[in-house]
Amino acid sequence: MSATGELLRVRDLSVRVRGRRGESIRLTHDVAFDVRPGEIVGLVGESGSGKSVTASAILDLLPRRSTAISGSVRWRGEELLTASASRLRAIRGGEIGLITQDALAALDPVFTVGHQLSEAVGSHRRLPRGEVRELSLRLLSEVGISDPERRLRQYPFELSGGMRQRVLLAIALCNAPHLLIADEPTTALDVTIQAQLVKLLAREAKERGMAMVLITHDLRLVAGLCDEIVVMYGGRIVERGSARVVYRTPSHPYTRALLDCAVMLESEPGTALKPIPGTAPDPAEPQPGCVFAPRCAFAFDRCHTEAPVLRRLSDGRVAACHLSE
Amino acid sequence: MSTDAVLLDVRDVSVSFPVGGMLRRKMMQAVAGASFTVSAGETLGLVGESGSGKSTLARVLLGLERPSAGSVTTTFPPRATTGERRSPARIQVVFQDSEAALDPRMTVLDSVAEPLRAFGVSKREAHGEAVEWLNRVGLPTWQHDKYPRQLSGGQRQRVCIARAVIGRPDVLVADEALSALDVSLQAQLVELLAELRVDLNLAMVFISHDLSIVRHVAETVGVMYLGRLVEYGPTAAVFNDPHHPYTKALLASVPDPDIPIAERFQLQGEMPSALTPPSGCVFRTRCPLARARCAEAMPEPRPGVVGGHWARCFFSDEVRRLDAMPEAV
Repeated sequence: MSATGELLRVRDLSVRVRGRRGESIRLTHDVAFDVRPGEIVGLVGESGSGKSVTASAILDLLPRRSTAISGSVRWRGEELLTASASRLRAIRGGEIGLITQDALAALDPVFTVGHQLSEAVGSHRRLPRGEVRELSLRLLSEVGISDPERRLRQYPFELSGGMRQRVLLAIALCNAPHLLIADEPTTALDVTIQAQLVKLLAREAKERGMAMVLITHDLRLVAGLCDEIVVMYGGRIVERGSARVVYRTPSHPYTRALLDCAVMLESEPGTALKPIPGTAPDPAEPQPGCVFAPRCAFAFDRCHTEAPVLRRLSDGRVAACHLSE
Repeated sequence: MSTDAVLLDVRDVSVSFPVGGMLRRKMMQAVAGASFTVSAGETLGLVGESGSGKSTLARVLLGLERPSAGSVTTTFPPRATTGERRSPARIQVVFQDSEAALDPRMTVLDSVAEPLRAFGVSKREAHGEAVEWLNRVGLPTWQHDKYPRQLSGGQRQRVCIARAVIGRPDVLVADEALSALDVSLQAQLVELLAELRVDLNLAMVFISHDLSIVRHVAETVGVMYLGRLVEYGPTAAVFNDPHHPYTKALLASVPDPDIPIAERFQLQGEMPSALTPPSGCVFRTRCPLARARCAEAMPEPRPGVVGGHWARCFFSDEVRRLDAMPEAV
């Protein structure tokens, strides 16, 4: 792994928001990871773990008035946290594409699919109308939409959830991004459509040599697809490493718990599940020690007083746990 | 009361909705000829993609929708008289969207007490019981006076469960109740429902598109496609030896990191519109086993190996063969 040549380099990224009484609440703590060209990175964690906040901070999508971001986000060597608004607009939807969970909210209800596709293309480059149409048709059929001619004239409400997610993907891909950030892209969909979309994302990334950051709460869904996995809990990275290593031999107790708690198709009915006890930490009330300690089955005295730092283990991954030292 | 007393007897239930304007009025058949029973303490899982008719069927069971044909007969055991008035609702429901299900202007304690209050239980008594139930479902006392918006999705769903069971129903319908939650919370709530089920001898109709969870909680499972029940039987039989190609495809869609993406089964296309269902077998347009005969008529249920297991497929013996042809599914 070389230190140079990465597409996206995130260092010490911390996001703070203003609370109701004006106090500063820290949502993420020193998040650091890299995305290399063509690489698929899974950002995994429960609601409130800080994964979506991290993605939004990278793209500068958080409300400026109430949030403070510190650290560094380097996109192909260029610092994004200090970049101008117009430069960010050129990157978003241009070099970096984004798809989110709620495709109905992401699409404009009063414009046709064709209009929204040409708008996305037109805001980044000047193309003759005929070429935009050709590109739109090609993209729609690439993402598996049948009868693209008709779909161009349809409105979002006329499409199924899976179809809308495909349209969103076509829009995200229309300017041939180097990186696609996909925030829970399949969560709201049926299993059959989920399987189709995951396969489609993997294929598109491979064929285009496009890198991807896949944000999800379901480690099982992405483990087979990702090169690298970043596990977040309570606004911190707790484990990061190659997908194979992290999935097969999780080191951090939270990663292990996340894998153990999932109801698996293979698990025999009637066997006891292993839910993670307790609830996710409240960022407004930070506790001393390891952020996972209150729910950790292996916690000992030190865990409640001293926060572990991320350390590199012999197999190349990093984990923040006193037990893995 | 014997545990296998039939509570719900659903016979040939069909539900149609009129759609379109006056001149182009069409009937959309959301459910067609569904038959099954639910016994005391039993959990029936209903699986299928969006638009398969599972939620419409749930609404029929809840009395929110009138079947256009067929019948639902309910037989509930007489209530032991405890001297107090109770909610007479024998069937209760937990929906997917817990935020929409709770009144945003009521504290969660008031929301949980409301079903009892509505049937004449005194405020003090209703609140006392609501506190007990909220603690029971795992919401700590200091949060009882919170409003729904102040709680997380998992906590709100616990509140909805408490509110559903406080009147001691015989049947609980869970319509994608866990689908919006994180995997870690799903496990917690599956355990909670399992406990309540045993303690209250609660029958459940558990609707979900998550096959892993259905396999875990249900003794019996029904697979729906385009309004039809296409396979039905004991969960182990249906999951281990599916007799319908659609069930096979659903099972193959469950994420499994140990199988490379490219080698995974995948069902092609999406479900056709219920307004224009295919002739004959409704699944034939996506089925790798389909041939001429399938266009002629919807297959009648054919029994499987295990008693009570059936599937509506002419070629149910060939479903096992699909293992060898991943790309076809």
